[in-house]
Amino acid sequence: MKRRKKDKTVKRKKESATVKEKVARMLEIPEEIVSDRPKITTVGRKEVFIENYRGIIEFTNEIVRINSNYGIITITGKNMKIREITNEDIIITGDIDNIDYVV
Amino acid sequence: MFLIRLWHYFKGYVIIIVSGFSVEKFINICTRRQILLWDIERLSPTEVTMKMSIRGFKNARSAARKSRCRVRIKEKKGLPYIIWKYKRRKGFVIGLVAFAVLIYLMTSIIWSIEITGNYNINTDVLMEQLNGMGIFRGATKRSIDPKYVADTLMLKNRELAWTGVEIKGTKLLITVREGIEPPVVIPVEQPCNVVAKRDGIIISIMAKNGLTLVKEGDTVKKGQVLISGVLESIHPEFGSKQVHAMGEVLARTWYEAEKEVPVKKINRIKTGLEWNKYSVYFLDFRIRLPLGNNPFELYETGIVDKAPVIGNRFKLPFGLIIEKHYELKEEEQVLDQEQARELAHKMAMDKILEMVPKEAEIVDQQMQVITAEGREYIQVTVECTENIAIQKEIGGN
Repeated sequence: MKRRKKDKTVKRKKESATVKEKVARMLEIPEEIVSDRPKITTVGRKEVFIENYRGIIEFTNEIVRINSNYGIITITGKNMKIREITNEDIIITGDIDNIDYVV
Repeated sequence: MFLIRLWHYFKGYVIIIVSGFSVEKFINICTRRQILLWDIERLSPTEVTMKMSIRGFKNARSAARKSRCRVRIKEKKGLPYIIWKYKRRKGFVIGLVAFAVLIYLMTSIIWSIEITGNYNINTDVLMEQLNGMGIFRGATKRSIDPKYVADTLMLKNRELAWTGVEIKGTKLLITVREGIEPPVVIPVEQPCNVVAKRDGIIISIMAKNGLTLVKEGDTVKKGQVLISGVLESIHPEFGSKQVHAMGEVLARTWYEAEKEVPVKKINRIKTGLEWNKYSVYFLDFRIRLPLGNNPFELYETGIVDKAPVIGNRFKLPFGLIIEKHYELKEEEQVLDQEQARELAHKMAMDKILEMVPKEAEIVDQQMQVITAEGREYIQVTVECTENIAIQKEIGGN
């Protein structure tokens, strides 16, 4: 319960381009380098790769909830593991069913 | 993936079990502190297992306190732990290093010198020359320059036509070839005679220079002058002139050999019994292991050298010598006449072929059975054609 309450307090940015992103677009630099938006890459149904995340909120075999600057990313599935986690990215493996944004 | 795993293995890691209600918090704190985590798996609602580097684990303690989690190590893995384990066993490590050093030292020394190919030059002479160059058993391989050794040996021994020096493991192999010494040639300016090398009947005589003293069909004796280098003038008052006589004299020569016809032959057969004498050695020191005395009266010996060899090249200077004694028994075989004669003939022929020079051509051979004092002899005569001319200085005998 406490957790959910906390989720609401997380500051959420609007999905509009910042000045940094505008400059990057002008200079034709890939946006993900400068932006703080999460980048999610999936490979088949077995692997999810998330960059620019802020931290994990919940981790079980069935559900992984990850906090980002633009909301909580919820990944549901079975037998999920975190293969690797560093400050910048997180790799989740398992039988993935869903990747959701909870705003 | 494999490379990463290998990297983790080299750096060392721990498998830990974190238990508590906010394991996620623990993970977040760790990632923020730049601690790499991998293979995170939920075991139960309160327990999570994960892998962490050794360095990270040292920092993780405060993270655990902060997140109110309990951390315990399930397993320590990787190379550093193995090293730590063996660091405590000092003797083992010292032994390992000593072993490696010893092997290296032992294999960088010449432990045996082998000289092959010398027939006329004594091995000891060559060995002494090698010693003079600082090469002996126990010399380091580095100090030997094969080219220098070969050159020095060639210079010191004129008989050598070729010398090969090779270091094979711990063995120094010296292979020499001896040249055939050129026959004594009388210089062309010097007058000489042509004399007979051995007895024979002249078949043909061809003088290139000088005066022939014999003719075809003549019987000559060894040493007899065939072509004279002294040319007497018709007019005695002019005296004589000496020339360098040359020529080819083909003659018929005979070689003869006699062998007794054996009545029986003794064959030596191994009985199959065997007795071994063991001794251990280090360099030239040999210690016999006491194991009784040789029980056989008649025996044959074979020597087996069991020295430890590293990689079939590096022979070490110690080992075990087994002298194998095989018991023999003699068996008499009675030969019938034909067999016996054949055997005697064969032996006689072998003897003759040793006597006949290579350039001679065998024309005819005869066999004769002689009976004397109740024994039989086989006499073989071989008739050859050969050049019996040989140059010899005038006046000398």
